[in-house]
Amino acid sequence: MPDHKKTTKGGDEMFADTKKSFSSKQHKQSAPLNLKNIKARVDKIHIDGLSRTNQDIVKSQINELFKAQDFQDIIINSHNVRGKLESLGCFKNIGVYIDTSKGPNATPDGVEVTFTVHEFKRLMGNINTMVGNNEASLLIGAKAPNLFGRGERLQMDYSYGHKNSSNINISAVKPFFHDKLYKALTTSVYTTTADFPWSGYKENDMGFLLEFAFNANETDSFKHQIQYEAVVRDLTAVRQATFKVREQCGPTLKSCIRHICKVDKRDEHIFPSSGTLVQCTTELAGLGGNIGFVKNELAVQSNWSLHESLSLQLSAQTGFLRGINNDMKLSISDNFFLGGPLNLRGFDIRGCGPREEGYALGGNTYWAAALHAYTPLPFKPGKNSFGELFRLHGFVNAGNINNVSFKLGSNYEDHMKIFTENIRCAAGCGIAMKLGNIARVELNFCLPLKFLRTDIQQQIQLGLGIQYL
Amino acid sequence: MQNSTLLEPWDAGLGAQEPWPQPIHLYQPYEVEQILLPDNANCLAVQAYLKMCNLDFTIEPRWNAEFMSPSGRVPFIKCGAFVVPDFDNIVSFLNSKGTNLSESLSSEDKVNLRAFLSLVNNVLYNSELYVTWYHMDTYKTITKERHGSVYPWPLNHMLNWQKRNQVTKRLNILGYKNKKLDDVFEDVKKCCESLSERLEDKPYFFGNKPNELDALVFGHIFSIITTPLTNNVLGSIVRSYPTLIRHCRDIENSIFSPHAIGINSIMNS
Amino acid sequence: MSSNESFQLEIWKGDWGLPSVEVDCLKILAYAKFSNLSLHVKTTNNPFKSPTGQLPVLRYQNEVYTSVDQIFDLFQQHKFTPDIDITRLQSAEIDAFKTMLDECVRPAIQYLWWVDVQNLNQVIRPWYCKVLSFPFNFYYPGKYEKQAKFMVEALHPTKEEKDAEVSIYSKAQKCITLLSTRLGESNYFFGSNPTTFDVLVFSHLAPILKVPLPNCSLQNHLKACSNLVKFTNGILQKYFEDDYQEYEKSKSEKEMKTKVQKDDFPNKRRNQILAGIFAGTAMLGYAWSMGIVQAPEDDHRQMEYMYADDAEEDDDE
Repeated sequence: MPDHKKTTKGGDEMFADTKKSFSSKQHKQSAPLNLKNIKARVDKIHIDGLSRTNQDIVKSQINELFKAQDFQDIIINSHNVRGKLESLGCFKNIGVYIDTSKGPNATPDGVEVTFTVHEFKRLMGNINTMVGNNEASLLIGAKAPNLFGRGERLQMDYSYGHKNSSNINISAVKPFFHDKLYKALTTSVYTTTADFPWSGYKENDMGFLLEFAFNANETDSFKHQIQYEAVVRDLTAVRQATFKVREQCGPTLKSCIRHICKVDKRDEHIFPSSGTLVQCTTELAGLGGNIGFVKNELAVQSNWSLHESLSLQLSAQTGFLRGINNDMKLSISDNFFLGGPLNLRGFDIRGCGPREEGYALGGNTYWAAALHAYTPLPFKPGKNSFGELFRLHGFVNAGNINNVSFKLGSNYEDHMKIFTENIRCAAGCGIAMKLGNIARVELNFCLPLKFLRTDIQQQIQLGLGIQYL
Repeated sequence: MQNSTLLEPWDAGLGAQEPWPQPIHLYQPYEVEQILLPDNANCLAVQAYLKMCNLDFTIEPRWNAEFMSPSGRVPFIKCGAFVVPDFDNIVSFLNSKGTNLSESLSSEDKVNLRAFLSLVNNVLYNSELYVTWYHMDTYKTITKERHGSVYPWPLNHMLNWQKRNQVTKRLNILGYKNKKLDDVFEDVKKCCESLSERLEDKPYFFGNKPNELDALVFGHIFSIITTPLTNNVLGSIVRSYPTLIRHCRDIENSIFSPHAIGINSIMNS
Repeated sequence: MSSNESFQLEIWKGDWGLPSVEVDCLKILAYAKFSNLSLHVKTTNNPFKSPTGQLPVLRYQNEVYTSVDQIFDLFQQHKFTPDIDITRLQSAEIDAFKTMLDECVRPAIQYLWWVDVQNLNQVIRPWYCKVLSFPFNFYYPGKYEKQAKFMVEALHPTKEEKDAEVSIYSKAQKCITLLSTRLGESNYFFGSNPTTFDVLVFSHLAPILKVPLPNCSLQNHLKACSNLVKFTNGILQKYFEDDYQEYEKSKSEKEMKTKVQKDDFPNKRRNQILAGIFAGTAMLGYAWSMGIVQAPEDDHRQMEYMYADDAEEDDDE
């Protein structure tokens, strides 16, 4: 079988494509040669380059390769295994070699698969500078991957801003690979400082977070995160702040559990062309501490590709917050805020909703919805390269935020007022860019259509963020 | 003679168009379970001063009064758009609004008044801080519990520690680093001596009418003799100055008991 | 008097017409002068041997005293005090004003000297680095700077630095105004003789008045209170004549010097012009020798013809 002696030395390029495109390529190639018709079985799997990493976690990742029946299975499965090995977070790069098996125990159709891995160094560090949010900061990160040989890692990030704000995050992650479903336990301690000039306060946080994350199905599309967080939040009002903000000052302790459930079937995070995202967050605070509330948030995003160069995106978000009893306080930093270049466009950050003397106070209920139409840059410059980083979009978004009383006996119509009265609405167009597949930058020209006198509108907006409406 | 950049916001005539008088709200910690000796002295002093001025006010106890205050110290008053912290600032704020108890004094007496205010504000206040936060017995048995009472565990320990650090820093800077408890008591003694020397047997520090110094001294002396502490030395030092005790009692009777309002208004008229 | 018997005082040295530049050292010096006590003063300029890391230090009979209050008490025990005719009320006032000066003026001086960047870099740090001996000049200025910053932080924990600065200066200005009112037209605060009151006021105001700083908002404010300026200068002239005269002399000498320098100015210009001409000639000469610039040869010939013409004319005559 000379054809089958195909080595995949160029595995990096070949498997860099997504699984889907890979299999579709296979279909296209199926005319001259159908790999499915070639019988093959895996006799042996070699893994070269293991020194610190424990064998058992690697073994548990490669088992599925033995189930392959034909050559196509072998290729697809070895691609999957490669992805799994990568997700262990122990290896820098992984090469895959497939060869017919030799030696005394070789079976007629047998092949041997060899994975060549390079382990991470014991300690990795990086230094970056970042500019954003009216502040320039220096980021220093250190990471000790694969600490005890089973993918455990310890990570430390420190950022120091030129306005004396410093953020520290130290986290330890322990993943579990023995089961088919990925699970990980993360603990972290952190301190952050954040400035909210739109509301007239500064927040200093010091917290502890324990998170258990697991996938509910074998593909990564359905994820759960269960978190416990204890955080001391110290609010300081700026000098001119309105009294309602001043009243919120002082340190409080929030102790909460949170459940985040995420179904993500989109083809991409930043500029998806098809698929749906549903994310549901429930937070219960008040297990100790002096902050108590229940908070529910739901975000939905749906994408359709109408034409090769036109895709539609409809997204909606909503959230409710309510206190649990009179002894437990609610802090202004738990409230919802609406407005901003990646939020409700056409309004300043925290530019909508209840405010006093120009300072946003936030509300306990909100909804927002947006309809986008995306197209690539006209004449498609830089197709398949840098041009893919940009999209033009036109959008209409609307939303409302208010304080709704959840007391018993308040009537249904009052609750529905948030959908009928004082709706804010803006339309506009602009250019969006993706940054490293996690963040996005938008420059928009917006035209606020419906607004209140107290709202702060912005017609030209530049925004950077990870989450967007 | 004053540089305009050095003005406090209420000097600058901001909100001069605001109607006066406005309702005054006095923000302070909870009296029963939270407030500590130095804060109590200042809160009482402000209350006494407002009463001497015949201004109505409502006391608003808040667990986070200290953090709400722009200066980080209690009490502070909210009056219309203004938020004014600290005794001295409150007095000068009210002066700018036309309520002035020391107007009729000679210019030399006015200067002396400032000096004595400074004496009380520093010596008595810092000694109270020392006893409350530095003196281990008092800190462990009283301060920790009271100061932490409004915070949930483990925040109370963290904030006690934090506040103690802050006070320690302040006292070290002011030269209390090498002082023993007895040295502090000696300071208090000296201060009381100076005050009673000034008071002599006049009804008030500057003649027949009370002013801000009377309010401030009343606040401190009254708090010192009524606050239970682990050792009673501070109280007994103050008690050994009968003129000060008499002065304190007079003010208490004239402005803090309901039937004395009449006397008070006669004094002010 | 054996060295054990006398009061030995270690202080920072004086400058700008002051017997010492530091407030506490000034206090001791003034107190001693006012009570006719002769001290054995050593301008060590080195706080290394001081138990608190600060000057002044007073050594007397193998005892070391570092705090001003202790030293005053010691002097009083030996019946050296300027407060002879002081009533009890007046001594109460002294106590009150002492706390007021400590509260209002002292932090302002600290801020002015060690926190204000311009003053620190241009005057204060160079001065201390010059005065301190070798290894210490790397340590103490930084230490004092840190202490002053720490003080601002501790006294104004919630304020931004700019706000703290404003409030420190405004407090000091108010206090100076009050002192000016209190002094009125008299020579000293209590009648015609100096007392501890005057010691305290003098020692706080003299450095503000005399140390020439680039950022001098407080000095300007003090200069506007003419009676306080008169008061401070009066004490300097009367009790610390040597330092005062010496500085005035050196100052006038310096002024003379600057005047001379002003006279020098035209010379300087002449030198500059000469230097310019020299440089120009040298460059031209170099260029000439390298053949970059050449005088047109035709001119030479013309000249020759002209000479020749002249000669012919001469011949004609």
